[in-house]
Amino acid sequence: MAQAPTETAAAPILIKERDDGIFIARMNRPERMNAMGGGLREALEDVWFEFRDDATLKVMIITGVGDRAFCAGADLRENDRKARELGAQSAQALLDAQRAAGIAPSFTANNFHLYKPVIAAINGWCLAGGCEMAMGCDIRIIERHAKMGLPEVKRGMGAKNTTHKLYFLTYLASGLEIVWTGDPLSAERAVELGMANEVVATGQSLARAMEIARDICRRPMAYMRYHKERVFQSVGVPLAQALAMEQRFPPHESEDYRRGLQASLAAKLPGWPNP
Amino acid sequence: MAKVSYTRQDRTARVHISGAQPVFDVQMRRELNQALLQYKADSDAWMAVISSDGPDFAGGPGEPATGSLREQHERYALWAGGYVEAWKPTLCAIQGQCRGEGLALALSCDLRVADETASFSTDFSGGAGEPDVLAAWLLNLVGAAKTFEMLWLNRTYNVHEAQRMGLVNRLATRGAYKPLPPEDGRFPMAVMGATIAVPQGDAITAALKFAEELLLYAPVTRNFQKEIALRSIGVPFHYAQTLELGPNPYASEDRIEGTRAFVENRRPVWHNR
Amino acid sequence: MASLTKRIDGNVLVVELARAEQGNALNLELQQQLAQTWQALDEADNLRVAVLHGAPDLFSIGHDVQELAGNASLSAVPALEMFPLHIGKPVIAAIEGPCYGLGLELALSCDLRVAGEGARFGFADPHLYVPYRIATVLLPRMTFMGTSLDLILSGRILSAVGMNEARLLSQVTSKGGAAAAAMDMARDLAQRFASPLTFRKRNIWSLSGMPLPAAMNLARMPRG
Repeated sequence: MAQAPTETAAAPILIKERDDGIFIARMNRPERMNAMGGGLREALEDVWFEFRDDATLKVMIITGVGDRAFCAGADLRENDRKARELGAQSAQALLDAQRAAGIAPSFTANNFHLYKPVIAAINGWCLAGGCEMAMGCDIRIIERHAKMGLPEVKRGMGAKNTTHKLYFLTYLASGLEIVWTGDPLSAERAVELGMANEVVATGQSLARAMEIARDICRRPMAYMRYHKERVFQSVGVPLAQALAMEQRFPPHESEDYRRGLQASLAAKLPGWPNP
Repeated sequence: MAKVSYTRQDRTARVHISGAQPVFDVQMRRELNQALLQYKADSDAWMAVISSDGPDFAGGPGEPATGSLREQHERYALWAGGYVEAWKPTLCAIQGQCRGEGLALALSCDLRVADETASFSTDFSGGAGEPDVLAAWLLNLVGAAKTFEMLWLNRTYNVHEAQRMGLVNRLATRGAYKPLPPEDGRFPMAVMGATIAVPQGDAITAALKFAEELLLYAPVTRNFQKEIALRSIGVPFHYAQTLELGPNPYASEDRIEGTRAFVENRRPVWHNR
Repeated sequence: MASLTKRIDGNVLVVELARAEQGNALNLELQQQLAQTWQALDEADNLRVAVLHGAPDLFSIGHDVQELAGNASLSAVPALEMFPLHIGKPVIAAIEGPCYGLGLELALSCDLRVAGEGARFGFADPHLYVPYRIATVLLPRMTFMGTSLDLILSGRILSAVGMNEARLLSQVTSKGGAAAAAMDMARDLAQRFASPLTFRKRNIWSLSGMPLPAAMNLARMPRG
């Protein structure tokens, strides 16, 4: 993979690299546990669009620099300072003022129909808005020491997109337990509850995410688009309706399809034919 | 002789089924339904614990599908206390056998605390005597594959298996109470536990302790999260992401209190608005 | 040479995928035979439950790529009838060895799954540019969304233990034991459920993806 630039004070707050169709974004504000301040929030908002709109990019990995934090969520101190600058008199006014000033409370990748795969390599503390961001990804690889949690309830906050998404990630009761206790999950528990896909050793989440990204890149992008789109469009509707939904899928005369068949004939599947 | 009582202490309501062998009949269903509606209407109650005298939680052989059309209607409508939408938490304390209609009652609660004696089975027969309420809950709690397994194979799951499947949130264990976080409002970042320790290791005390711990945090957030979670079921994904449901915590006074308490090093005092 | 063999054991229909030399690849003929089998199962008064299995070390590798490559007018999208989703009687899949692609979809569309510990599950062929219509719909309703997306997008192979942790299996047996365990399960079901209506399979599926108030209304509607 591409050589990582040195993480100095001069390095960008979101380090972006490309590796043959794989787009790697690394949050680089370790001294603030990648809390979304100091321009990181804006950089993150832009990066999803950059990934979405670049046809040469097939899969994205989001992670944090170092082993302390993936992303600890909103930068409360910075938000609080900005809110006081806005001089809001009541909670509703505060909310309106924040929206107007662009400090929107919640953010996930699923908000805007991103149908290319995203992998979160969770290298440390993954909390609140950071956890929401990880939950907006398709696959989550979590390091043994890392923790995921949604502590908003402890401070009177709470994001609706996250709670809604929890139902699909971990089903009803576990989801409510996670947001009502506000306690972080250990890596093992996160996998047990469906919140993460796989536990890896400390320092290994990016490497593992790269392996998975390369596997993903072996398939045509239209395959990814069709299946991810269909998964999100088929939930939340009755089964019969979901089965009846048709999405455009390239016809069987397509080049990619026929080429794929030839490649498949030449290849071997794991465990078949028998050794 | 009342079978179900509703009481409240501070912010925690208790819906308690009395009697050594609770059996679901017309009277119990009506009283359960009344108690749940009372919790819904009681604005001073922010949390409810549903429990029974034991040794088994509730359940047992179902009734045959007899009776007039009106009786059948009522049995179905008020099965396991009926479907009551209260946008605030309900916790179920489970000991012994939790089966059939008793399981349906337990699953209609948001969280479940069970002790080592607890066991779970659906007692499904598919006959006209029982509605499809268990299936409706199981699909949302354990997924379709486990739903068919639980209903058709009618296995009995112990509390550990139930916890692995997401049916039980906390196991009541015997031990000293875990102290509440200190008064300076600094909530510790310990990982989410799987057990609640109480001196007798019983489910009811553990559920009440769990309620006490949850009450440390913001009620508006909790209620909002429950409303979102339940009301976006069966709503297409992207549409649900845009829905404005429930009270907005960011517009609540409790949100300001949450931040202020953090800055002032004290426990927040919530007002549920 | 039949691609599929059937036998009757009491009230249980035992269906065997019989193209082991071709990896039990689900060619058009096998798909059609499966569709006919499920139809016959649904209509037969004396049959309550079915068990579907492959060879002792092979369930199915999925699409018949050779057939598709040799016939440019053949669609890779199978008819929905090859899956037993729409019938009222349960089908238990007994899985050993590879269970890939369309074969995995077939297994997922069964009501219960038993697997031997050597079973392997996944969308293993990265060259197959085909739509998995059933998997995309069923997986998120049966298991975690993260697991669903991972399986479909990355081509990860899950072991029987992994599938079990994803709540997708009802039993894991030692290698070669799945078919026998599935038979035990089937005989038990056939004995305890006197009428196929009591499985309530279609009714239960109709509650999936339904808002709770509507689902509760439907669930609580008394039956005549």
